[in-house]
Amino acid sequence: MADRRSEPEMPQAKRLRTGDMDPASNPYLAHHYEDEGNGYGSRNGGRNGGSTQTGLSGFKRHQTTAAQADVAENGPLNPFNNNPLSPRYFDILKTRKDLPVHKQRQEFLNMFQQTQILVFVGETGSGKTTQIPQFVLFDDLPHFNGKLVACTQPRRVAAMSVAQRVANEMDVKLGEEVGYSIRFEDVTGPKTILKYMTDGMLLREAMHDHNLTRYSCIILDEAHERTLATDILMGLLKEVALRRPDLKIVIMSATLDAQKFQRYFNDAPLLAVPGRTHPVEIFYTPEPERDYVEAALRTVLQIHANEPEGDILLFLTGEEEIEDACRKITLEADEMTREADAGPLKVYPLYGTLPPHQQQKIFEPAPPPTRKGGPPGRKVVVGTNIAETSLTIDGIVYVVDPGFSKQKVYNPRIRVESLLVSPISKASAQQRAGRAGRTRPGKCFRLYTEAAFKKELIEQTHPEILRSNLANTVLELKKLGIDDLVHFDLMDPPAPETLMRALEELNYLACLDDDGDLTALGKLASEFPLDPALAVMLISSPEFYCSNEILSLTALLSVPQVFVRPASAKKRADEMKALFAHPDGDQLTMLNVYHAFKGADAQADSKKWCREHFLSLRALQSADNVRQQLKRIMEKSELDLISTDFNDKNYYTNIRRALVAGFFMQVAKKDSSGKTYKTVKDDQSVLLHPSTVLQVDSEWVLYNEFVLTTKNYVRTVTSIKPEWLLDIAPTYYDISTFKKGEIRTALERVNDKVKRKQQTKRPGR
Amino acid sequence: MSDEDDTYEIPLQDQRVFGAGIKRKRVKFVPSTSNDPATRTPASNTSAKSVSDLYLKLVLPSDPLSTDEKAVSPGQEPDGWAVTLKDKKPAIPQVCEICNLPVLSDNASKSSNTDLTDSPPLDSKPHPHEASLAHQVCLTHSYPPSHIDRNRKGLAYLSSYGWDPDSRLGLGASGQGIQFPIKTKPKDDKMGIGVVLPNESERRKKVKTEKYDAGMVKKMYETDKRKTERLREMFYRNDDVEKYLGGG
Repeated sequence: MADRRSEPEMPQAKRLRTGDMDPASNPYLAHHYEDEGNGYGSRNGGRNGGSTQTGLSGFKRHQTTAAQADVAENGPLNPFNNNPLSPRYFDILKTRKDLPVHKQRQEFLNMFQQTQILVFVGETGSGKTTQIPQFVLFDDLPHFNGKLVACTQPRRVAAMSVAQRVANEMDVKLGEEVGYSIRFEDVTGPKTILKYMTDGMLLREAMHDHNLTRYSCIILDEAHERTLATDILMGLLKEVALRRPDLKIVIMSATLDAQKFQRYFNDAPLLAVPGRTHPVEIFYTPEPERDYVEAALRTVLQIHANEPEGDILLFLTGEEEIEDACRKITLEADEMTREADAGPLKVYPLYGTLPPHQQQKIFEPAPPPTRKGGPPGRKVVVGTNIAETSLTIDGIVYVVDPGFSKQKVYNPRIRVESLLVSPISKASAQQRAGRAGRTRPGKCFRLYTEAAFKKELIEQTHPEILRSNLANTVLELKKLGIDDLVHFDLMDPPAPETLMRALEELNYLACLDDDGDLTALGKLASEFPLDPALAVMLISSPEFYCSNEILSLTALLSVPQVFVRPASAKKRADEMKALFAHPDGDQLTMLNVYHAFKGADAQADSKKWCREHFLSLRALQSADNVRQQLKRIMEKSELDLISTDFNDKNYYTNIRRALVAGFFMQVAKKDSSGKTYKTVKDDQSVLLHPSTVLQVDSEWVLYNEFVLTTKNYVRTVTSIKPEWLLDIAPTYYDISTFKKGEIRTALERVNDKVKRKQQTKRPGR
Repeated sequence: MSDEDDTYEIPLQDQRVFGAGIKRKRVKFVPSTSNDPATRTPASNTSAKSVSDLYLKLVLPSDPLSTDEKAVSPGQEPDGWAVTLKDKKPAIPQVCEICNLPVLSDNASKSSNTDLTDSPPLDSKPHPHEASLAHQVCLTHSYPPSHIDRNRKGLAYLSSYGWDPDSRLGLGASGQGIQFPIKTKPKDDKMGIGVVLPNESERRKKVKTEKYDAGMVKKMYETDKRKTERLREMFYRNDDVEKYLGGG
């Protein structure tokens, strides 16, 4: 195999090499030739002179045909590693050939060969995510040049599961020919030719390899989702395409607004594969609904009572709402089954933070009728907008759409990024309706009026780049060597104010100097797959003699919530949390949890320990994993891993001071009223989140997260001393830049105190 | 009426918009429909053309036809003003370069109006097409400068790459980006899309009507009763009086 890669243009040599294990001479494989040989074998034989049936011999890069690939796919040996193909492979192959994309394989190849950038449109379920990269492999033959094909996914879970699926389809081991790479996890090897990866990972790779030289073809999948990383990648690839004429780019989108992509990529050719869709009847409510959740539940039950067989998909906004709805639907449905002889109803939740094995449950078939000949059973999936484009659940016939989703928004004026429930767009509503027509004609029940649909919904969902804090993005772009952020050709450039905020934040964090150039700290910070504030905190932690602890804390802050607080056992959960509580704040409490988790007691049976202490084992384990990855980067960057002696009275103080080094821009001071806090510089009135363990009356707090609701909260807080702010972040806390007010007066007083102390110290020396 | 009064009493829609005059290549005028010398074009607008206009008016005084013609096509002034009024009639309707509207229509209606209202001096004042709302909207205006603090470091960076905060352009290859961050507001209720809550003032009104207590209702009832009684009394009395008079 290794030789083969280095000599791509020598079919003769190849034939000789593969010849000595020619499967045709293998009696155990003879049946393959009889089974498959009649149609394809003869054609193949004709082309190759009958000398060999294996592999990709006779394939010329960018000149292959669908028929050729078909032959190679029919084995008997795996064309990519020459291992005999398993029966399972042929089972899957049969279903693969039924996918809508397969009919257009030749058309795809023709276009792919003729153009550098291709826009491909195929609805979810057309098979594009799994098949197109394989089509590309057979034509691009990346292993002949020692290159790879990359296929990006917006979601980590998708990258993992699709890679697994494609590895099965190609009959290879995951991590060998087919692998995946997501943040903090790389499952690829030297043999890898097809790599599924998150779009963020490809962007990180581009930071070190501006021309993406490892790849011969890059496929951006789910481009319609317009994630931040995909948008940046598109801007980048547009430039790379000019520098690397040999690089092929395929943009894949599931929605029909693909003309926008076409225009953006200088009128690139477009290939559309019709999805397998059936008509969907759409219903609106005649009047607006006062309570969309209640209306949604009623609609689901109504469908269950009155509509013929078919599963239901209900879109709600978040975990809590979904779990609550699931509970209520189950209760009501049980009653219906008992009293009105309705069929059994099984309810499944679906949201991003749900563990994967529970996410898989949504694919279970609907329950059978309770008795023979009784009313049919039904499945209800209550999900977030994950179910909108990226996941296809077969059997859905009814869609209930209240018209809301949780969306990230960023307000650069108060520097707050938060998830807010907002009305969806028209495009989104259409996509949701389309989910009902996957298996047969379906119905979509919209819980708003037709007038509201026309008037109140925006056309397209705003892409993520317009709704995000761009500090991290700017750091990445600078590392990518893109300095002209004004004219960088993005599909939807962000608002100037948002970009200005990002530049200023990076300047305060000393990642950019006053000229806007990347500093040494900035370069180092960009190595970490973290927010700049977290990265800076981690990098400066050795100065505070607590890099081990800050490393753990950074990992903990990068994973979902470690504390579990089920509605049924809130009190018990709070009691358990109190065991770990540190009086100075939540970050230190989290650290205590982690230390306890790593203790011998917990490790003995971590599952039991977590359950007893109301902690999320999954979150802690992934924090552990993240910690190891970050540790590796720290070691590579030659950052010392040190700790203060636990018995030193400064052990926790050092950690708190190190926190300030990263989060000095997220500080709030108690108001004179003594009830609310005011954020520094942005003057937002906030309350401490009820979940905090902070008990001491601290004047100054540092927070990790600003929760935007009608009442504003800061979550995950630690008490700090104002002296530290002046000491650690003197440019940000330059008192002359502050507005007149309580905070300025307080800082002035602190400053005076510090000065006096220094003066009294000096004569003594 | 003096000329000074004139300039101060120009109706708002006829006045030149601030900042809009810069782009105007040439000031066009429509001849006055009245012979009152006081209504002639204001002194500030005198040009060779208006002088020739004045001359034409003196030469062709109080021609009954001329007013009609002007009513039909006063704005159809071709570029040369030295043409006779008769020549103006077949002229093709001139289309304004800026707003793509025929210059005629607006003025025609205006002058016919003046005819109806017996030409008071102010209304009969020439009404240039440029002063029409449609035209003004189409003009490129100068805008107030952006609110962005000029001392911001982020702005310095963007400016160094050629972005001008006052250009009213966004970022991107051709400045096509959005100008302002997307606005949002938090939603804490479960209200569906399209639910319109009555606004604060309406709600307060409702509260007011609900505040009547028994005593007030009684009082209102009594005043109502008194009113109707008085009315009835008036009716009957009148009837009686009429009867009485009729009888007498």
